[in-house]
Amino acid sequence: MIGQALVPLLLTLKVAGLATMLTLVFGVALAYVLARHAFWGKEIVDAVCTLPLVMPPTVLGYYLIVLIGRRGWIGEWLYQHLGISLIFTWQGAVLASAVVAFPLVFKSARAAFEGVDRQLEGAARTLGASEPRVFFRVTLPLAWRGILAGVMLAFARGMGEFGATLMVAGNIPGKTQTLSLAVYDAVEAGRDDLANFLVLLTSIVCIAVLLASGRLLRPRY
Amino acid sequence: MRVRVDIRKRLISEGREFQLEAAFEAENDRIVVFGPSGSGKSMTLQCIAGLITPDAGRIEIGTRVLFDSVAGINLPPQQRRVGYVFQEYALFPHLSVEGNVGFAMRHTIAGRMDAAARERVRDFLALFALQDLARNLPRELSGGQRQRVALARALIHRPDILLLDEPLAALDPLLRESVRRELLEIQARFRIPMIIITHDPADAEVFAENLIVFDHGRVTRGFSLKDDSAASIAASQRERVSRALTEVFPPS
Repeated sequence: MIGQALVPLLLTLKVAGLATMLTLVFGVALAYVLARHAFWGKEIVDAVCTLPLVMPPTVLGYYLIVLIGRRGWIGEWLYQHLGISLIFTWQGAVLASAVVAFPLVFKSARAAFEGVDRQLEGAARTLGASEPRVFFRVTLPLAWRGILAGVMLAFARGMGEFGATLMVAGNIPGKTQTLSLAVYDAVEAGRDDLANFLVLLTSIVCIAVLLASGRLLRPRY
Repeated sequence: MRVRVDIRKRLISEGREFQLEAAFEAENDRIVVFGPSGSGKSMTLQCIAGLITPDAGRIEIGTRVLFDSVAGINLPPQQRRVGYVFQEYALFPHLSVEGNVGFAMRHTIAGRMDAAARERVRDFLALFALQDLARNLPRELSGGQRQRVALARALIHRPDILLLDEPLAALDPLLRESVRRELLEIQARFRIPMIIITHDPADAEVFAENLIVFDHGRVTRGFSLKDDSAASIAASQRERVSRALTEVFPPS
């Protein structure tokens, strides 16, 4: 039973971890642009980026199939030029989890950047700091905890991803079957012992993540 | 050092319009910008530091032109060689006193300073009586200590001019008198021109060699309090300041 749980657990950690890294890079970059620059359509960009939070995961999954399926807008190009197909692969599951978890990082990063006193950045500039130095020595360290809390939530959300992953990556045991999908299968097959074990495992990991993010959210300065 | 400022800036925030039209020229090293709050003093200082870009005009410090809308000159704040002491000091809350004071020093990618830079930071910590607080965070300091950190941080990279935005406002009134004296000493020691913003006539009495009076976003008058005419020598600095201020803000 432990073996049956271990494979989906490791896959889930891999998928959620990589998805979280993707959302970290893109979410933080976009959040910084929106927090520090004024441009037309800014709030539209914000709304679109927040959409995965409110849309049903199956709808997102469908959007992803339309985009990256073999006959999708991006998928066709990927398949013809690079021979890559993301549908029914664990990489596809990473993409699905990343899209679903994106708003959690993006939203908390934007709030964190907007909470950084602009005067501190100004002070750094008058002290001769280049723009990258202002960002890495002042803005990012001060926003970091807020961002990290969002990252934790994104990881937890990625761990529990079901709908979009099922649509994009399917439910192939040993290949794309993550914990939440394995739980579904176990219950369907009437294997309550396995289901109980998987549910417990998922709960423990998620509680640990939430406790850690709660600690990080406590104000320090 | 000669300071020439002639700038215009229109600002609309929350439906209210503010028009800044600041023009003044000062030859002396202790320039006091006096005026009620909301009269555009801070904004002028931020324009000089390059943190706000004026709509039009020219800013000149000594022989250097920092901003000239006609010639298309607008130096970034990093190149203006201006030391800025913010009203609430704007110390970096996540960095120690040492990290704050040494911020302007050259660092390696790994965030280390070379021996010469470390030496200079040590000297400045000692000079401002901060050596025992080097590892403390700003939130652990008193108001007076914070101000000394802000001054040391601003002076360490040898700016051409020091801009002080209400340097005494955040301090305990009992401390103000001694801090005024400290500021005078620092000014004499570093021989650096200073522009000090204040709305306290007592500050003007102690500091002002040039007194620039702001009201409603405009410079209403500029006074040189260092002229040698017999009349002004006879008058004390206090009398000169109060005479200047009653001229601009007549008692109703």
